[in-house]
Amino acid sequence: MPEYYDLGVRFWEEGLEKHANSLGFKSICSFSKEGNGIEIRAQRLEDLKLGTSGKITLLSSQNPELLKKACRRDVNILLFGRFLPDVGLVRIAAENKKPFEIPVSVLLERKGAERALLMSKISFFLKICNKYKADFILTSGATNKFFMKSPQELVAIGEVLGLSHDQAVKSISIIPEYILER
Amino acid sequence: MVVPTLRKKKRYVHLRFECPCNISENEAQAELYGALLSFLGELGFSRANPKLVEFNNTSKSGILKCSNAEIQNVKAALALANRIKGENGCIRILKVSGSVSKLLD
Repeated sequence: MPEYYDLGVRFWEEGLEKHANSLGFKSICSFSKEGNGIEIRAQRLEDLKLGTSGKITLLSSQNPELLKKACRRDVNILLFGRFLPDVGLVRIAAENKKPFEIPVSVLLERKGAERALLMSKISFFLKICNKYKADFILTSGATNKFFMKSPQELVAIGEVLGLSHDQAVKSISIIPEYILER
Repeated sequence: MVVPTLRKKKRYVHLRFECPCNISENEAQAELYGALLSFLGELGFSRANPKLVEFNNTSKSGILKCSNAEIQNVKAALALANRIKGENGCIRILKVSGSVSKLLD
């Protein structure tokens, strides 16, 4: 049985790891002050100053050109908030083995048509990732305990987004494990 | 009576409401059906054929019966519900099984 990881938690509180373990995760990565990850929200090239803190680095940007440059730097995870099907970006990410984060919280925060349209965008983005063999990780992106999802829930959401069962499982087990090892 | 070979295969989902408020069986059913209907639509809802079989008010947990073929969509629909009775909360899926007895083991 694979071991599951949630590398996209956006908050920290006491007993969080225990709660994650009870949900079925072996380990989590929290992008908060107390956590083991750093989230860099970059808008311009100057924001791309990466330190070597030993923590997992997530680069989040709406600008695909910035993300392309970040692929060649010391970044562990990429987050393209617009989920546009930028083939150039996906190719470079695949070449440099930088995975994209797909946070489920972006769907939870939306309702109705807005959620449906975003699902369609993410679905097409994942299709392109699969075509060019770019890695991606499904995460909860949780900002509170209610937003945290169990591995089986993440797999179900992945399948709804057009992934096969194996691809969904891989995105919360093998690929996150590889990131943690690096 | 439908012959067993024609009977549609079903799955039972053991779930729990995680919210600060108390919730009755009728309210739980309305929340579940609302979440499924908004995510799957009327056609998807009819295919999923959900039914709340059992609900415990004190533990806020229950068992939902649904079609085997639509189980992943049902799980996703429940996972994407983030408000219970207008407050922050979620529907946590505990276990999925083909029989109620195995579910409660």
